Amino acid sequence: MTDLNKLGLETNGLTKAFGGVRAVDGATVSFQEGKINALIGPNGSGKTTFFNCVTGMIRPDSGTVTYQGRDVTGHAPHRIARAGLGRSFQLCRIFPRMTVLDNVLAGVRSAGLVHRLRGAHNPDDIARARELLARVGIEHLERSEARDISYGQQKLLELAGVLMAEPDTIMLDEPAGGVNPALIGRIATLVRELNAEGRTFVIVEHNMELVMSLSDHVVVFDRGRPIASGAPADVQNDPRVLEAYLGV
Amino acid sequence: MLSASRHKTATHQAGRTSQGRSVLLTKLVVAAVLLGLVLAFPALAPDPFILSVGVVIASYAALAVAWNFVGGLTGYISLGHAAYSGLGGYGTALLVTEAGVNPWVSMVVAAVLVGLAAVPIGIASLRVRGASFVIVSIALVLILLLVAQSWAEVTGGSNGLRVPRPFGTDVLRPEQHERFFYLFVALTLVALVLWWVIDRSRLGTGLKAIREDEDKAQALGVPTFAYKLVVFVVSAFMTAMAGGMYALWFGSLDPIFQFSILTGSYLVLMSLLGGVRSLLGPVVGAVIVGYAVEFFKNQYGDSQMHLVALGVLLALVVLFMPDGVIPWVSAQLGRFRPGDTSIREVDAAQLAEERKALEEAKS
Amino acid sequence: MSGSLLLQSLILGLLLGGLYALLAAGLTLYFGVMRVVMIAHSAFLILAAYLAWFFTTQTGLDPLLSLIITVPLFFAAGYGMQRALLSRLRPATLTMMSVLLTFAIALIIEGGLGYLFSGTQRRIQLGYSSASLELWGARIAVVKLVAFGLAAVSLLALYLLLKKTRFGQALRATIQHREAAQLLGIDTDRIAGFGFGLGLATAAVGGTALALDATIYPSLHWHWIGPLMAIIVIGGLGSIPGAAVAAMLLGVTQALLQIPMGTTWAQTVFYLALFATLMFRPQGFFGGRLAQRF
Repeated sequence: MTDLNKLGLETNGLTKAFGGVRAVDGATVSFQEGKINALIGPNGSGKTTFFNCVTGMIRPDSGTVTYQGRDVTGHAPHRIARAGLGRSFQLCRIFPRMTVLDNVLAGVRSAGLVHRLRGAHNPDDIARARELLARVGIEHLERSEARDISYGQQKLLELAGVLMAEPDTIMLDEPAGGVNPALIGRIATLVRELNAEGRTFVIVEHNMELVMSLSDHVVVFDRGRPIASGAPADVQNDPRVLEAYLGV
Repeated sequence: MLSASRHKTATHQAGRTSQGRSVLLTKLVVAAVLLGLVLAFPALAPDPFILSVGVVIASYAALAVAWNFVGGLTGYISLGHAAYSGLGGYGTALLVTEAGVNPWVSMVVAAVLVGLAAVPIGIASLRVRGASFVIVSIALVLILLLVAQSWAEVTGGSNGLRVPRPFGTDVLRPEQHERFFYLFVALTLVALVLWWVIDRSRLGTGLKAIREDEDKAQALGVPTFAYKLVVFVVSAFMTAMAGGMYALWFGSLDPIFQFSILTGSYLVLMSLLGGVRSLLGPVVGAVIVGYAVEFFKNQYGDSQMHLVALGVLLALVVLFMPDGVIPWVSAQLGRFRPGDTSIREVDAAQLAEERKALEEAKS
Repeated sequence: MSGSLLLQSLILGLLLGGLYALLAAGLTLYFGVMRVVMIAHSAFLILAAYLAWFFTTQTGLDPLLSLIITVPLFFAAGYGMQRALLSRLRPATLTMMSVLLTFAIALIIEGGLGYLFSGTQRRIQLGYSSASLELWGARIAVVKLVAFGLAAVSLLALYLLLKKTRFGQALRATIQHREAAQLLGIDTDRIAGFGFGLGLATAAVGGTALALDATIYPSLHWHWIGPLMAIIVIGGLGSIPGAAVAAMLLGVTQALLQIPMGTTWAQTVFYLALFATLMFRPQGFFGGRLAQRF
């Protein structure tokens, strides 16, 4: 089980401006290791930009990102992914013209160029990819091209791909967005199971019902920085949060 | 529950394998027949001119497959591959004439040198996304054309270079054509095998992931830059091999034709027309476009209309069949097949793309 | 090397840089509104030069008057091209496919010009063609000053249009953040079309300026597209001021290098600067967030 005092994902004074607009503005956040963290906030509060800075998709203007005590600020996205930080994308991103199985195999960790070039995929990797597909419940689709499966199935596929890279921490950008209620339940169950196995989650989500039922720790963003954090029930009643949401 | 689903997968697989085996067998038979026809071509060609057209097409096939290492596997479109074929040609010629090296050794050494030169070029052009890659690919051809024309002491300037024939003077022209035809076919086959190996490897899966969605691939831990650089260098090497072989066959090099944007765009058109995602797509494209180009030249001479024709054809392919002829034909056939609802497929693909574009705009 | 020769090169470099800046601004506009690398830009430049030449040889009037026809014509052509052709491409492969499509258009223009006017080199003969001014021993041809004036006025007009008008605001918003612009109620598709029209209008102006003092032939556009693309990368893709500064700097550098190296070798400065930029600062020197990802 995870040591609660172990260092997890933290940012310090993270800032990123586009033109004159500071999308992320001096954000200092620390997420609880081994827990399900939620990141909420009104539209345009900088959550996705924050995600992109943390995972290396965007280089922040200033501030630092540390993961498990290591400074990973500005590292290439694949290095951050290899450090154990996996992510999904808002609106779900899969490789549309690759098969479902290949989509998962793309996330495999590999060592050495010769190893990568030598013949086809390692049978162990294929077996693990199939296991993950079965775990999210779409193993029967492994030969289909990813663009041909439904949106909900694509979301599950994306999750399987992220898991293939064996992340310790998984960042999900709106996992319930555009998904039917039955599937939301399935995704929530998966998140709980994976968390019980020791994985940390950071979830950006608009579905408050889901956030409140699923998460252990909530961070509220407004105008590019955290304005409140704590247990779901506490955050829900925080006047600053209400103000940010209602725009008073 | 778990064992039930395992069982289902297993039966699924068993059915698939037997079906897969018969498909594979058909493919092998077709490939063998095609290869037989290609190898019989020199014997069937009625005169040396047709034979020389065959050599040109075979050289295009080798170049197009070499181009497709980058174009097909990563989706990065280079308009400047003439730079590598031209460098391969000049390198081979200079090694033969200035250093007196054996022509075939020269060809390989020149290609290795071009591969090494491709490393810094790749580092400069692959680090950021597609646009800079295209710009550099065009700039490279333009700069090399300038150098080849200006640096007359080495390159012969606008007069070009003469390359001595690798086979003795007793070998007559038709015989030369025949030998080079087989050499180009062999080079194409080597390139095809290498492409196939990479396509099926883990490197290939990573590359295709880059082609589909580079951000996503990076987020999954694919070292995208290193992967792109590897195939870029392989592509430059194979292109230079074909360029060197062309120099040995043709016997003279003119900078205008060696470092020509047009040559590079022929390769793009060939691969795109045939289909960049398929192994044989570039070869099919090379046969169609190569034949058309030679036909045009023969019929209309040096008129500027061949530029217009090339432009129109390229625009039509880009607008209406960006996936190439092979997928397009099979999609058309698929319409008549019951159970294949192609309408839904298109919708799903477009949806995914719209979503992607939307997110790109957001992030 | 004499001081007056140096001064002359410096002035010629600045004058050439002005034309580069205008044309690079056009390329930047296309890239800004649609993330498109418009290879046909310089082909349209040569097309406009041919139209100016044709206009003058047919009517005997000053080529500058042809702008009355070519600028609206090119604006409409740019708008039409964006709406009818480029917007049809799939967003996922837009960058690559738009390169090919505009490349195809460039080939069609080059081939069409060659077919209609043959490959012969053409030059406009004007009453003031050989007139020049002397300034501390440096001789500057009047036509070059006229060409520069034309470029400078157009660039200023473009600047004012982008900074001071509602349309300019909408265009800049679209360039910076397309989705946010949509949320503000801006019809970004139309704006993108207009952005293309404006870009192509710069090619019309530039082509007329070029025709004043250069010998033109159909394949000349290849000599322009390389330097122009180098300029927009060095300036930072998507930044018009960046492109303008890079254009002036490279124009002057090229002109100064011509003294010891000759015309052909001096051109390589663009490519060397391009490679150096991509090696050490791939986002360009003045670029914003666009350049980091393209």
